[in-house]
Amino acid sequence: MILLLYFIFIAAYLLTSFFIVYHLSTYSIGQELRIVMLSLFILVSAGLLFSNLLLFFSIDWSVLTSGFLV
Amino acid sequence: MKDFKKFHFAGQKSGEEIIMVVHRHWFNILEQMLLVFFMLFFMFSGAIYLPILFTALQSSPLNYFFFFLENVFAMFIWIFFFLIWIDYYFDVWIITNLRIVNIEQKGLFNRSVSEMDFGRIQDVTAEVIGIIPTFFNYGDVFIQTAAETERFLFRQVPDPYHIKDVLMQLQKQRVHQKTAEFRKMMEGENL
Repeated sequence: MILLLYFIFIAAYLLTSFFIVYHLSTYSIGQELRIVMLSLFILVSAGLLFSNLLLFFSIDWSVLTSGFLV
Repeated sequence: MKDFKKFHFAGQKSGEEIIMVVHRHWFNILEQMLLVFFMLFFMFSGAIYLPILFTALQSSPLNYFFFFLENVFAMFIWIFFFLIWIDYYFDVWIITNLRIVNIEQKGLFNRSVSEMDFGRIQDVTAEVIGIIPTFFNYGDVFIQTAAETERFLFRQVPDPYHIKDVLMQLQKQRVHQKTAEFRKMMEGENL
């Protein structure tokens, strides 16, 4: 259940990020700002996603859920 | 004046030069960014003070869970920041030597592009209303055409009086150019 919810969250994050990258690359009128914004967005988004995955898989969900739900 | 040679937009004609690219005034985005700043403040102060207040958050597995939640919040803020930025940065008025192009972006999936030739301009009005707009010199520029379309409103733009002057100057140039072209055509027919 938690894994499914997490998958939906990650999918929504990736989809929104994709559309943001699409807008930045397609509709930017200034070449320099396009490169700066794209690199900044991709780097930070990837960093946040990577750290989120690491944190998610380092949590012992069985201990947490038993503690909260029981 | 800023050089716009490196700027390019979809539908730009050959020989068409960008004279001015106008975005909304930075104060307009600041109003929306206040929510982002507030969320950032909430996130950082939570990361610092919540483990002090609730010591259980300092021990495993709750501390991992706490940082995971902070990370999810950071991801949300990051996406939210860029959605505001896209709404601001892609909402743009491009003044070229031939026309005005208005690109309106609302969110990610609502984008409209309209244009107007300088020859159609009848009157341009700049309007600065309020204490903050007067202090920071930003406001609206209305363009009236013969057809009275409401499409051309420069909303909350910096230095509206300068923009008005530029538009009037370009309009005069365009009218002179069209008159000269018409005269040439008539002279050619008479010969």
